[in-house]
Amino acid sequence: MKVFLSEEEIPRQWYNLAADLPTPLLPPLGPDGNPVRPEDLSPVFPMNLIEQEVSDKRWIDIPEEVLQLLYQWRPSPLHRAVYLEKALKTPARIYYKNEGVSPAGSHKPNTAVPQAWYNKQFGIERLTTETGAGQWGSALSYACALVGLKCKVFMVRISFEQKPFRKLMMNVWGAECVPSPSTETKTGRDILEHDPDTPGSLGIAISEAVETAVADTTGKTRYSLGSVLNHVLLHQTIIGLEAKKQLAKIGEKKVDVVIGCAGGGSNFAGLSFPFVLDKINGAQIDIIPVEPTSCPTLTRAPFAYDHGDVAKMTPLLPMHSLGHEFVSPPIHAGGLRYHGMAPLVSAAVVEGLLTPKAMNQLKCYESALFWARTEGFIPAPETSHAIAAVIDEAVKAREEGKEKVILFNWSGHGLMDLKGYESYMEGRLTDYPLPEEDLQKSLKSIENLPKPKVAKTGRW
Amino acid sequence: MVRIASSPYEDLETGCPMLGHPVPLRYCLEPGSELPCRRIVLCWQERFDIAGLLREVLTPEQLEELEKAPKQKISQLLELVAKVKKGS
Repeated sequence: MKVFLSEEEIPRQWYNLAADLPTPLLPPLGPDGNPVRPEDLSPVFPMNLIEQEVSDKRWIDIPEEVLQLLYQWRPSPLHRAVYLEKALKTPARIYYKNEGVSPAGSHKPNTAVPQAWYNKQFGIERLTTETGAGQWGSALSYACALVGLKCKVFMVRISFEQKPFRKLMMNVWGAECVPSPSTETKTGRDILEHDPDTPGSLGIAISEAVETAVADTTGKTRYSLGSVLNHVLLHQTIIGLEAKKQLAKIGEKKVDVVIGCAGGGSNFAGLSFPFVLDKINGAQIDIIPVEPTSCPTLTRAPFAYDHGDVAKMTPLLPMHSLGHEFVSPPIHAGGLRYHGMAPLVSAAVVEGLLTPKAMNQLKCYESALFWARTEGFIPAPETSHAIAAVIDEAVKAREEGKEKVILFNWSGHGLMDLKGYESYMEGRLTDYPLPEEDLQKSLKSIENLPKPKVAKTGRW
Repeated sequence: MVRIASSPYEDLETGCPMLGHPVPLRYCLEPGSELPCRRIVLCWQERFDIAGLLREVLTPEQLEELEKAPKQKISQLLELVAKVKKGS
């Protein structure tokens, strides 16, 4: 069962959660320690996107020309996973947005296309970016081809060598993709001189992409980022806004559970933020970002924040899957601090609007195979995290005898990731649950650390 | 760059959430930068005592640097802009 919207029914505004967060985000800080001003960002982004980045308007119009471009694959279909429901014998109704239908095969073009369009409007002629496995690089390459921009992608060398097909996709769309570090930037040359065999890193690739944009004295080059930033999440909200219309079209009045995998946060935010608004307004919805247990950010990372810079990195102490409040073992007095999640998603977690969950990789692959053998589509490995959580919720609904409505984001296909499936099917993947003894030792090591402040209203 | 003595685990692989594909531990230890990846403890703690390994091979200054709270993305970008402008 699929629910379609016509092009006339596509949402015409994006939703900005920043307008409704109960505890507002504070502005990021610049190198001088002062809040970033919009003009500070102008060397890397066009002003029309900067305005979106800092906007506190709830609804932002999607330009008609952007909609015309999005129509290449949007509105994306809402599927009901009836085959999975039958296989699980669940009374739950499971719906998913199929974002794998985009030309690049994932949700990434939802922001790549508007970003390319806004840059073009601003008079920009070339975009630069960095990419790892190539999902973002290929999405931006496609978007630049649509609007007539040149595109230069710095692909981390280790990924460039492991993922040749994504590089070829970028080339097909007319983009130039070079392994990073490259000889084309001062950053790259310096690194190669010191270590010619370096595998590269995202940090180096970002440096090269930013240098290329900023060093262009014509002012016609800008940089583009595919996750984390507010305007990226904003563009992705078309997913959830479409889903609401599609559910309404078939008479589904209430969603009980919303699920998405969470890496940098953009696909999760895209589906969930419109439902977070409902929750802020009183709706009872479980909204679950799912991440891997192998590298958890939301469920385990201690979101320590530098003093004086509150709200976005406040410590989180959610329940660990073993039932413990857990913080990663400190490697030194203060413990490792990491924050790779979009500030808007982090803030919603801190506020209690979201309930993060972690899934181990074997369960995810098992779920992905079960999905492929029932619903047919082969999901991207990250999408399989959401599927594993959906199956858990559906089984829970069966055990409780509840007719829940579960909605999730099928964020992309896995046709470029079949090596991971091969490893799983050949039994070469294993899970490494943390031994209870180590867990207790870790907890003991942090018990005397000061408890940081958490900026939240306490409503959820 | 940190050169870490060979570890019995360095050929083990894990999915890198930043790059989107599997990488060996040796990449996380030396990801083309002066320090191991900031996520290294989160990504490996369930498999062996990565924190202990880091304590053995990093100087106190390097450990301190690794533990610093990373800046927000926007702040990172502005630092890069300032660096490029300074160098030009």
